[in-house]
Amino acid sequence: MKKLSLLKAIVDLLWIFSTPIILMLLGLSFAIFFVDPSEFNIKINTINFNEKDLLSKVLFAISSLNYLLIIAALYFFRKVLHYFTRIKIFEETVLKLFQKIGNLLMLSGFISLSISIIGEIYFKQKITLAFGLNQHLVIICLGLFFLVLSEIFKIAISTKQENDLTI
Amino acid sequence: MPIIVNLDVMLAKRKMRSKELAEIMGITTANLSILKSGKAKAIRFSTLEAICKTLECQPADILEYIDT
Repeated sequence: MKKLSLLKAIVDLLWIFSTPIILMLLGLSFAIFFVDPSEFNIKINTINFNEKDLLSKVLFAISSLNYLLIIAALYFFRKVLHYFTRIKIFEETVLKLFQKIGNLLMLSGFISLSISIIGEIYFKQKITLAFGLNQHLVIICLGLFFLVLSEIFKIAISTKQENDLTI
Repeated sequence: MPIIVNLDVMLAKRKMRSKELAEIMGITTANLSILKSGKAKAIRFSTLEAICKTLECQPADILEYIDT
């Protein structure tokens, strides 16, 4: 349980630091439509969002809002850890939280992958094929892992229920 | 579930209370209540043996299959 406490402490710390970022990102994603992005020299995932056109601004706003999905997943993960510390492990709520985390991470991964591809084509006018550990794929895989975990928990909950109701 | 537990009937026939049976068998009254109410998903052979021994009956007297 020491490992769980350590993980919860790290996730809590991440959550505390990400709270002001939520407000900042929300503000930035709206403000970008009214200011010149080249003044800030914004660079996300090796793509410079310094163009003054609408697509650049929309892409930046979407990537900012996409980051909120990861923060939401972090919030749900924090809730899961809270249940774990209270020894409430095989519960329906935990199962649903795992599903939510999985779906959010998958969505976030696909959005960031799409933005990355569109950005490469639009700003650099090239299509790159890179092999190796891609961060977008890692997020998608993490989302899939949480979905698989939710399925495993579903089986575990029904097994526990059967065990509890065996006299 | 098509399997019916007729523990109530056997208890009435033997004029025994649930609490008494639970004490003899060494299980909690809560677990016996689960068994009586039909909420139980499974029954161990050891539990069935204890019930049959205490109530002096056969497993068929306690369990019944009804086709639904």
